Amino acid sequence: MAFYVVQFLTGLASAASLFLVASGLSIIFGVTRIVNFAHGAFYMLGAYVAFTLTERFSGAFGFWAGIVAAALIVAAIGVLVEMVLLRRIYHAPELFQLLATFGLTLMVEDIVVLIWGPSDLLGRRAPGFKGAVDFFGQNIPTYDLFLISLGPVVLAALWIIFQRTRWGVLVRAATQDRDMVAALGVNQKWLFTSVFALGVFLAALGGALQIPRDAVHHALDLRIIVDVFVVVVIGGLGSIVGAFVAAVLVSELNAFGILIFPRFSIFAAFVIMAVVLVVRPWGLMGRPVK
Amino acid sequence: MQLNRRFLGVGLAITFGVMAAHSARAQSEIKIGEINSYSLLPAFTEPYRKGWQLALEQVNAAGGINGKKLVVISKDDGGKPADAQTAANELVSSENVAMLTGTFLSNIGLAVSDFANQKKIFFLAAEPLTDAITWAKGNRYTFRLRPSNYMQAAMLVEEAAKLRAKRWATIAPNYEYGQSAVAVFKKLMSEKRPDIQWVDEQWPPQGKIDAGPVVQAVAAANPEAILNVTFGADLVKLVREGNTRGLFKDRSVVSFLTGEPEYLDPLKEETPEGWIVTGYPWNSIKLPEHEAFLKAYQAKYNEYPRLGSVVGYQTIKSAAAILAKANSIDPEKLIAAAEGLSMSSPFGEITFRKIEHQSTMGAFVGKTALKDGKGVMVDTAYRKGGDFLPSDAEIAKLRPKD
Repeated sequence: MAFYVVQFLTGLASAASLFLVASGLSIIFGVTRIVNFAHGAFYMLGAYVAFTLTERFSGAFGFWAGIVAAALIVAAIGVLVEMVLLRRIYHAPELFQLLATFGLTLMVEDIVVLIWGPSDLLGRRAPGFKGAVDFFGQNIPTYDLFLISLGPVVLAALWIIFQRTRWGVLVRAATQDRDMVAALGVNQKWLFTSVFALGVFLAALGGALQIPRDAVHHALDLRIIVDVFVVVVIGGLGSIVGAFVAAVLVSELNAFGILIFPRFSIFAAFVIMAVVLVVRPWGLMGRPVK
Repeated sequence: MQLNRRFLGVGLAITFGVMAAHSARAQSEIKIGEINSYSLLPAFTEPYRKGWQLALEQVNAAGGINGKKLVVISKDDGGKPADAQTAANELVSSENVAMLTGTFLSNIGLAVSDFANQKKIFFLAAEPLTDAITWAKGNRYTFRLRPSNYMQAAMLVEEAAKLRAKRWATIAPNYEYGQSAVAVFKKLMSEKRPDIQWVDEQWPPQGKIDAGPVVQAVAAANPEAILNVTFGADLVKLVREGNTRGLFKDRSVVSFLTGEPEYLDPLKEETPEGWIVTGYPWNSIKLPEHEAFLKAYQAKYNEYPRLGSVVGYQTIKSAAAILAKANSIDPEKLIAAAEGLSMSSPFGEITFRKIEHQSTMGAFVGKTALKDGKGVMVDTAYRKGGDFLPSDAEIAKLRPKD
């Protein structure tokens, strides 16, 4: 019995990481209608920059400040990318946007190898969350518990931003009808840039938070982007709660699926996506995209 | 009219001049095609590239291949079998290489081996480990340098059979290499120790392990020993989660390839101790050939070699030895020259066996340990590849009928 509880919590920890990155992608798509293939690249950059910062600055403050700083730095890079590249292709066909962001991903992959070298880098464990908690004979890593609690916190924070601030109102309006928002005199350029910055911040934060769990290596972007896309599609493009539910669904089904059928992982997410899309073609909580 | 004819004459002269110069140059050099997953696996392929560039330098400094300069044309397959076949096609059709070499992933090695068989071109596989390359899907054009899954499994089984553990679990990446490694390890282990039970097996996708659930699932089966076949970033994640959740406490672990510096070094203080592994303890090998290789490599690159360096180095050295003995670029003559050919290598003398074209290059078996915050291999011993292969009669049965 204790085993199933722990397996469930393990799945939730994976879900939390996935949700963080997926929410960023969902937000970006919801407003700008750009399918940001470079999202995985920002995730990976967040991980690399966080690695450098957490190695430079020791102690607990150094670690957590390093994580947040990494996310902010990569968000700033995201703003630069948005202003230089994406602004020019908002009105281009979707295929061009996909190719441009994919091209960006390939560039970033080679750049990180140039700067950080080809080897896998292992960062340090999170101070204060290094061990495991004993739960009826099973071990639950404390960092997993931290991630599990972070998921709903981020979800709540996003909800407050989007429901209770003026900026949030504009973002929701732009998600529903971009042209009308422009017609009403809102500065679309800055709206898109700020939304992109938030999305990239979330992706980079997701990457940085992987430091205690995972090696940082140059294939991180392609590894995460497929799972994130699947989660976003299952949840519905543009819906953050959908992304949360989908992340939990995919991670839990994987965590329990491998108990029954160990080779399940390789196609788990895609099977779930296929089933969900057959039943609800716009995703669990998505709406038809205009 | 006069002007046009003059230009035509000059143009033709230049064209023929260039063609003559090109073919004159072409006759004085021999080209080898090389394919590897440079963009996908730089941790292995960058030292690998350094290794073969060192070998190329040494071969040409010693006079080349019977006086001709050796040239290596290298292409990236990005980890995809289709791209590897495209690269192989370009090398054979446009560059007219004498032979193909390289590849890393087992599925790509099989793809290029199949291509070589169809196009009737010599292929020296460097790193792919699946037994199928020389056995179930073997063909006469394909040779392989590195000790296969069977050989490494047999070396590990020799140590693993001494353990008292009866309940075993396996964790392996879900693709050709992982599947064949587990299959052969299980077969050899069960032959030596029929009392062993295989209580669980986990198959995380290659490069995408979700280590938490996998570690939990293995722990739930309560094994006494674990076989690990994961490598690279998957291994790092597995070790971290395993250490945090206490998976390896009071359990023996046997692991393929973990003693290789490219996989052991990233682990740093997380390096688990006492794992029985195959690997490359580069700073404790007392062989004159290895000392010479180590000196040359460190002098040229100012860093220590990885196992990839030895593989790259020996691949080109072997190719050069085969070309020199054959004194021709005809595939049939190359095959005849390579079969049974012995040569020296950083691990001692190796031979390319006639029966299935596998080299007798061996591997070092030892245990992992933590020293000054870094992972090292201790209690190491070199196992000669030739001692860990089944009888010729068994192999003849495994190969397809030519």
